[in-house]
Amino acid sequence: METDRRDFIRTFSALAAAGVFSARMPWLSGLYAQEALRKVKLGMIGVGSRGSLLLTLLQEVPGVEITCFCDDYEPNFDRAQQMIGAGATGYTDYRKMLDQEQIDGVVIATPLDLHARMTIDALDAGLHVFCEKAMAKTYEECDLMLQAHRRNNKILYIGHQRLFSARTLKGIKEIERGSIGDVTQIRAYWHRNNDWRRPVPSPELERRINWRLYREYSCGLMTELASHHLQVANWILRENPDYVWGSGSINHWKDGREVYDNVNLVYHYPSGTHVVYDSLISNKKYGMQIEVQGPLGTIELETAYIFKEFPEPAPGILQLLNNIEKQVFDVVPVGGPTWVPEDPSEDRGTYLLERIIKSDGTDIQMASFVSDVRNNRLDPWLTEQGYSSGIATLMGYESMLSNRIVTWPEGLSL
Amino acid sequence: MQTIYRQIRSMGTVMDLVLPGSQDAYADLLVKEMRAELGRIEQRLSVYRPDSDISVINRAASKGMVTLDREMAGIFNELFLFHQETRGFFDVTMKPVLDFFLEHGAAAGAVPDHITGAAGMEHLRLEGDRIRFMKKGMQIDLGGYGKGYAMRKILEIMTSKGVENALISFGGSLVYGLGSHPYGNSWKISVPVPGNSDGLTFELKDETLSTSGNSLNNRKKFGNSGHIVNPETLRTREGNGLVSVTATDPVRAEVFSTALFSAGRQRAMELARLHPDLKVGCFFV
Repeated sequence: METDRRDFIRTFSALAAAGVFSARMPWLSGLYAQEALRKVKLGMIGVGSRGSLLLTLLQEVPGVEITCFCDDYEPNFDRAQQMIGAGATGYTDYRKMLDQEQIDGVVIATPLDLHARMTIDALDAGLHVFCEKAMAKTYEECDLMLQAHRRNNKILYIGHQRLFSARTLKGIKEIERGSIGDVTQIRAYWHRNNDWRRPVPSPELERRINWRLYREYSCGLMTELASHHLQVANWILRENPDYVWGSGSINHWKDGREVYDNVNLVYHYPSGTHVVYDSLISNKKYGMQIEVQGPLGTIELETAYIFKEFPEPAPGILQLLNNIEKQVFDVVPVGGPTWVPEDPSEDRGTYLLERIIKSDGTDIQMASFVSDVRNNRLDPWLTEQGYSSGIATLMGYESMLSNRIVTWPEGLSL
Repeated sequence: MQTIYRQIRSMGTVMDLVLPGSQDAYADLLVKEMRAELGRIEQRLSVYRPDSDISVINRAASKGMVTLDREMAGIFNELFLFHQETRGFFDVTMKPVLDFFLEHGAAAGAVPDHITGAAGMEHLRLEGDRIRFMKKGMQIDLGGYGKGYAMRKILEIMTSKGVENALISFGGSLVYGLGSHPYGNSWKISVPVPGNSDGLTFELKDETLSTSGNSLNNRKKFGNSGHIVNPETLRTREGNGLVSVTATDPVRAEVFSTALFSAGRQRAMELARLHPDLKVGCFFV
């Protein structure tokens, strides 16, 4: 465990060293402080594939005790018990767990349709909550979750780890510095090439295990993938989309699934900026990216590369330009064997970080949640990021289902 | 004084333009025209494009005579003139030899006969506007010529638009000083070399400075084998070193810097003495 902790601390120091914590990112500032490590007691609700990953990451955060967990699927239950050890009490009913356990908060990683109920119950039980993305399956559920968070004055994190990823943070800092000028368009996509299924031990478990494929439980690619990029888009633009139009279909994986295997949407924001989004699971050539475009350049956030529209002059040319400005006539070192290797003429971009950081932010996000729980520190903005992404995600989904333009719903709490 | 700076990516490198006393709108028009012309030349002369004119010639000329249009015929005539003027040290048929060293490294043994046999402009037959490769496997690479040609065309555009003063740098290896610096009577340029803090210095007034050699960047890409072949020994020039040449005509400057570097110090000095119009600076390890 010592090694794991060191790994975590190393990642975190790397983030600090990369200068990604700016004053505009107050939710990270708490992590600076050397805290007295009062034990934080947490319970897990849902320990499937995502839940067990979150559990592993939590076990690497200093000062955390996972005292209980809940899962109604036996293989998950057994695995969790093994991971945490006999000291933790296992439940198959989360309400019982909330009633019986003395804990500070819960981490919820269950199918989308369960998020709202479980989150609201936990908040009303006086607990802090980390709930996986997307926030919820309907506008009303998102709103009720936000209200419960406000009413109880308890922390509510939605699992958008890009808020804590070094690459995204550095990229957004660069955007705020004006490196690409005003953002005029965001192009985002998430492409995979697989059936998006999980193995099912017996047919009656199909809908339960592959819940992501059925409309009763999930909104498919929108809630499971697009919500991340929409959160980042809302964050960059510092506003929420006022309308969206989209189109989706099942054109490849015709295997009885109900959710689209390809989606295409255009989000319009009040400033006149558009977010153009597409996702599919029948081709992975282009992978995943958020391309933030402006008159001075493009930033690819997922990989933290910047591409300047007007690249800097060669060093000697820069010196010449400075000399002319100062009315100086002097020798400038412009000549030499080709200073740029003779390669195809494309600009391969400049990496924004000083060294490669592999973390996608999930580990830092879990550490931040623990730290906030320990210090009872609420950041409403952070919750609102999950909320506005959740609403935007559902707007896109509704637009595709109804084949019409969908506007930001009226009567919401935000 | 307002000075306009523009950059054009073309021909595998970057062209920097410094235009003192110009206006944005005017520079944009100029750049637009230059970009189009550079694109056109690249499409004609680049061996990196499989559909360029030179690639078509490379595929067809060993099978039979290929008829050249007027511009290409002019270019081939010039290639032969420079081949003679440089006593064979400028030779556009060295690509198969270079490819061999890039693949096998500087320490590679003897170059196979079928490659050496196909190297040498004496195996190129130019009859009026028709060209033919007399040996199988011959390949033409205009690497030591194309940028000079492009610079010449760029200067034609500038002159036709009435530009009087400008500095144009094609990746640093080819620099043209048009007119003069706004606060001087020329453009003062240096080429950094190890062990000499001033570097090699040149004053350009309507002149080109061309530099050929093995730079750090080139070595990263080409390894120790270098990237310029000596047509006499059919080996690449290894180690650090460079040759800078100034001439009024950009093509002449580029051709001679390539030829002199490939020739090595001794032969370069002999060759340079035959052409007093050129100013030559060199650095060899």
